[in-house]
Amino acid sequence: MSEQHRDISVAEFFEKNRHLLGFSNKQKAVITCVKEGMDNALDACEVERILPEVHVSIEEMDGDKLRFQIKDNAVGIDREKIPKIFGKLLYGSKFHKLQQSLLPDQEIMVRREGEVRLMEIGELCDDIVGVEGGEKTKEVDEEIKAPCFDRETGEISWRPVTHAIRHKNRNETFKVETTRGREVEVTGNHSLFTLTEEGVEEVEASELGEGDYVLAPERIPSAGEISEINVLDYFTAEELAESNWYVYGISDSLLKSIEERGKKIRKRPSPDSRRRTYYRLNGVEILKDSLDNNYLKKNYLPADKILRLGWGNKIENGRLRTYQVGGKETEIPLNVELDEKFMRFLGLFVAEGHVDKRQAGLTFGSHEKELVQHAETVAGQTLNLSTTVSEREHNSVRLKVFGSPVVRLLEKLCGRGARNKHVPEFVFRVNEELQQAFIDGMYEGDGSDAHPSNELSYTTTSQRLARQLSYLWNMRGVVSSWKERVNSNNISGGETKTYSVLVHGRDIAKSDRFDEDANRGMRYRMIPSAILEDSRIDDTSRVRVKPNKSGIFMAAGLGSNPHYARKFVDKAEKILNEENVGEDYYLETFRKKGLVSEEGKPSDKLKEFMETVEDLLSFAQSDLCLLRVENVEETKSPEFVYDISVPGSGKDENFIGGNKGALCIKNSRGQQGIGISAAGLYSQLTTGNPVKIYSKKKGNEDTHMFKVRIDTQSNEPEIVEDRIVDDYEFDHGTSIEMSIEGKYTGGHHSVKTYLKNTAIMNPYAKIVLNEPDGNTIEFPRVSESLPPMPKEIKPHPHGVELGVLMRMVRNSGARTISSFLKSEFTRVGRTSADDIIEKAGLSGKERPSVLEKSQMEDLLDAMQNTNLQNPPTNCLSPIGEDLIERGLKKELNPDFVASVTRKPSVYRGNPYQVEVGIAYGGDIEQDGTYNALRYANKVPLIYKRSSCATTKAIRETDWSRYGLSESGNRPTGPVYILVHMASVWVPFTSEGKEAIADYPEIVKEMKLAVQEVGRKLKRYLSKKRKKKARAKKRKKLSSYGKAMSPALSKLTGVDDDSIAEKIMSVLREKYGKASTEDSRDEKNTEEEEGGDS
Amino acid sequence: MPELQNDQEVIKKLERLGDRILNQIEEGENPNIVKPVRSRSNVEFDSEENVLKLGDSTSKRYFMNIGHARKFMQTMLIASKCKEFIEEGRTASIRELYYQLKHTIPGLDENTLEDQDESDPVIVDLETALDVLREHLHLIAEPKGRLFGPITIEDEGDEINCLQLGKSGLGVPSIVDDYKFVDHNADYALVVETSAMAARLVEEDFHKEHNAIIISAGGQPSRGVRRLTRLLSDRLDLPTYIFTDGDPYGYYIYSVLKAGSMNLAFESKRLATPSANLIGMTMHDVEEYGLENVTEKLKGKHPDSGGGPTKDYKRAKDMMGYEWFQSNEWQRELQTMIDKGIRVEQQALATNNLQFVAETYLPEKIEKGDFLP
Repeated sequence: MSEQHRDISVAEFFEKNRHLLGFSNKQKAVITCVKEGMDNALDACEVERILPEVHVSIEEMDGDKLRFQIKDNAVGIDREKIPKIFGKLLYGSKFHKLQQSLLPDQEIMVRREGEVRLMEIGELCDDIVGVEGGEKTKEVDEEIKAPCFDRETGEISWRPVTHAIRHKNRNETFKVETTRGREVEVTGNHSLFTLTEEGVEEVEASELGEGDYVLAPERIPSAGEISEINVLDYFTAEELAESNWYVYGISDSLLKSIEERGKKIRKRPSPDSRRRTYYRLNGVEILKDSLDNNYLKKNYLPADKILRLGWGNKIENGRLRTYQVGGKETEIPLNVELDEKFMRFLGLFVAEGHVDKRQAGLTFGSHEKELVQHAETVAGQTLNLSTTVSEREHNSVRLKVFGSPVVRLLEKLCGRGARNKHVPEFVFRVNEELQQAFIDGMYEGDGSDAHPSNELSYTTTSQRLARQLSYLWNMRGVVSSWKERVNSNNISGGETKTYSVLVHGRDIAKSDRFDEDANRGMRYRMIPSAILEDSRIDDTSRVRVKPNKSGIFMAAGLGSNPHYARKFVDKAEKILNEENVGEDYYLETFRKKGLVSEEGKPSDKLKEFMETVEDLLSFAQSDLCLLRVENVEETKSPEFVYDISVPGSGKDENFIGGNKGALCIKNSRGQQGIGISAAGLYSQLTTGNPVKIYSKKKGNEDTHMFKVRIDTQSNEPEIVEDRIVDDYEFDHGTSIEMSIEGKYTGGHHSVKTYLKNTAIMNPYAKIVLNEPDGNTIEFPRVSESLPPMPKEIKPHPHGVELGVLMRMVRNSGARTISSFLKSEFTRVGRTSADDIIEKAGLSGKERPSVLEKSQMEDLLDAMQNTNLQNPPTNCLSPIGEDLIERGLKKELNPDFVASVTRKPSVYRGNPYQVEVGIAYGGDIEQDGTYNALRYANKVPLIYKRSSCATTKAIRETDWSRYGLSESGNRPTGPVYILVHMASVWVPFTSEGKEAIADYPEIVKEMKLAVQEVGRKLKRYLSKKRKKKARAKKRKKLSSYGKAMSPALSKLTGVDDDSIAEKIMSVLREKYGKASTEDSRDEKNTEEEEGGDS
Repeated sequence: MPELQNDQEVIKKLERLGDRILNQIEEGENPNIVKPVRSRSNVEFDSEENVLKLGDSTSKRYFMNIGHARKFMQTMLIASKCKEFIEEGRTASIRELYYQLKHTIPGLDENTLEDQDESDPVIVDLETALDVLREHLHLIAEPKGRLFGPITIEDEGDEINCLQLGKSGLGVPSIVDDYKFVDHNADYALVVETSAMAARLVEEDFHKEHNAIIISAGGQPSRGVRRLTRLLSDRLDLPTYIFTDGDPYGYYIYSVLKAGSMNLAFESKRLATPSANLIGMTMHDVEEYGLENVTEKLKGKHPDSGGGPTKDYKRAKDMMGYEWFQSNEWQRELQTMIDKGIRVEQQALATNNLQFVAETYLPEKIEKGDFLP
């Protein structure tokens, strides 16, 4: 596969994969560029043990363009190292990991040789790449098309399949089941799609769980609009020759062309006959005598000759005639016009028909008179056939159709025997009305129309028929349901499986023949509220909403019913248009939720939210819909798995498949490390400018300025200019400058937030941001000590992948496999090396470099299946509890911080370590739910919060136990929760490195850490609460005491000052000395309940 | 100014209270005041005397309990102020007391007393804690209630003939124990709930023509009215008739006059008139006098409506549980009221003509002895 892709230019690759690389929109592009630059700068300093000082400056230019510069104080960069930084974009070591595949028996929809087929992907690919030879990728050189959606427009269209791929399976495989009974079986890393606020995104099967949503096609376009079929297309020449069928109505000129263009030859028809004269045309031999005496006179030819000559479509008004025993002749048109009547008849026939040698019959219930009549009319008029109707036992009526071509044709089109019934192929290539007429016929014939449950179902023992029917419904814009049942057969004692395809509610009304309640059956057209997790404004009780604005508002928690939601929509739109709106509950709510400013102006949050609403609306109108995942389970993995490549109209590669109805399936490729080179390439592609690098080495006088450009053909960085400049202010370090297409914004997803989060995790760094408006923000350094450098370790066999292994083998100087294993890996000694070698079926004496690819795979398998000691963990780089607390304190100024650095742990051979911090109160604003700080190897993660392991850990923690209230499982209050995962290999959910995959062991580890800081927070909160209550009580009592002292004095005659003093001393004894509570506590005392002592 | 016999004794009681608390403070104890419990649980019906009485339960009010502290302080302030009144020989109304003591507490955003509703119950607390009457503490309530009829009363040496007070009548003060009944020509005492009905009867000369002492309560009867009713019954041996609206509130007024109130159960033996009877209005009157069209609906939820009765229904239901309402007549009366969901006002009798109440209704009922016990 990779070979194929080396051929496409890097620019093309980038263009296709922009979304994966973090450049899907202008805002995100800016953040991604800054992120890559920051990573580089901080790394450079850390390696040299320099306390980092990084300046980020961003200027706005014309036309949505920005120029930014990231300047560090590391040691500068040599000319020779520049290509290394701007290394090739494509060849990440993790490349092959992203081979994503379907299991062989998964059917996909393709159009091959002009015909639409549901084919097992294994069968298709084996056919293209050849059955032999193990792993293979081959370019497809015939026309095969598959339905493929465009992420931007949401439209599905038929696109060419470019590659077929078969490779060995190295992953777990999963069966993903959704509502409507659909399922697909894929490798764990195979992406399906889902919808998020940021649009359609890929999601790996292994990350899916119940309650997630995956994309399915709602409407697959028909693969053509044919209006007639040629009967001959459905037979082979041999079949026709055997049947003695003739085509009449051939024009003189066509027949004469045999004489004119054919080559005259002489030969014996059989060894003992005499020689005769033939015309040979297109390899077809026609006896001259027959042509002269019969064919030309009566304008006909044997049907097999027509087929062999390829004249099937050249004969207008042709008729197919056959002579039966007894001289009776039957004639049907050669080209059958596809009209609604005929399609309905075919549908009926698929449902009720059967064929035997001479006749075809349709059996109806005796009450189905109308259907009998219809079938009779079509048979008689369209097909020109003779029919008989006979009453049979069980109140049924049988319509018999005679005429062997028709009988044979129906058999070809619809299959013979109940279990082999199928939809005639061309049904996928006719217009919608004709498709519907066919579906109508099927359901009329054999469907059941259950009115109470508002359900129309078709049940068959033919799995193929059911699958086709489901896809056919999809071409009508209907997502049908799939059900399977196993029936034990009383007579034979065996079992039969039946398959039902059901549609509901308004989908039934697609047909004129079944009237149903059009208000129902909307489910899959609705939008699940879960999609809005990140931009939710408030809690909602709605699980899914109608795909309109007020629906989406409800899903976001604005409005508890459509009436109120509409008011919110109305208000929001007016506010966006800067129209004047009156003060009322709605405006107040917007204000409270930060959607409008105090002055009633729309905030960025509102604008972002409305964009999300628009995006969801356009999704709802697209050819796609969402199905809820019901179950995901690991399945038995086959040896080989398959994939096809369908480059989409935009940047998408996807197709449609599934054995119980259609789902959208992604084939993607990419890499983990993207690096600054992607930013550079983005800059180059969007503005045409090269990247500028300034470098000044420590202790060197000169500052160099390099201009670097990436050759998009060779994929090599080129230094196009290198000169010494004297007008650049520099102590030492590197500065990268580029201009890009981008948009600088504030809010949640912004450069500012990104840098703030970076500053928290890197408190030993000084970071300065110059914003486009001239504003300067400084994130100060509060620690003078860098965290210890992680030690480099050799890879652990459990964490290695094939690509890495192959490279290691290539680069290793070891003479035997055994020594290779021992020297290149950690935790592999003699015994375990022997173990691995034996499992791999090797002797151990082989030279590593002679291993074949398949042996390498066996070796990898063996490595991963051998029990080994866990890897050492000193390779990790946690920053430690102290630095976490300092970072939180300096940027957030909270009242309370706590942190935990867990002991290192291992998942799948990869060591990792979790750190968690919490900050509460102080300057942290109380705006609803908690604020998340997510990090992977000290790098902030700001997108895809809802699919991140950190979020899962926080949400699965019961915060009420730790003194925080919850809203929708999320802790609320003035609180920041920081989760950091340090690992040699962080499992990201996608290539864009935006969220950590929620492997159960990782989530568990994070939860333990979160709970630990939770307990610390609880202690603080309850202490604070008690202290506050006591202080308040004491204050009250001493005031009361002073107020009543004169009264007691009057009653007792004792001096009131001394009484007051006595009361104070009693209070002191009980409550301790009066403390000087800070002013914030004083203000808040009213909220506290005064408990009794 | 009435010279109450036991001023010195009261002052001693107040001083003892102060000393005890000071002592507790000096001992480092949590200062407290002991007082009888005045909640429903400690109120019982004495079926011998037919009045409500306070039980034996006591509770302590602690200073260093944040729930008690404010009331504790208020008790001290009131105790000390009362000592001052007694020493100075002055009597203050409870409203005056409230204004005397209300001021802002230094250091807190609150006053010693926020409104009179806070000081009134503390006065009662003090009365019960010390076992003295508020009059003994030199506190009086505002005069409320008026008296008309053939009786001559000596008050502070002045003789007042109550037949000669026109439509004004004699204002009933809070302390009536020192009244002397010089002469009378009355057949019974009639306590009327509303001032308007009393005025109607006076205008019709009912008190003159029927030799009736009319006491107008003006709503819930004051202590003065209740004590006076009791004195008339005790000293002159007059039958006492109570005339209220036919509704749960009216019957509760009757209940208070006859058996005493929960709040002032400790004084029932002085304030209640167990021999009193209810003359009207009754549910029976509605039928008897054809008042069906002038009834009003009861407020609140019917007991069967789910969620339990509220408002009027609840009060009626509660009263059915009172021990002194266990007679068949009362059970029937209250049940009818709940079933019909109606109430009837005294003034509904004006539906035919204004004099109907004076000329027909009351005389007929008294003659027939048509009362509720």
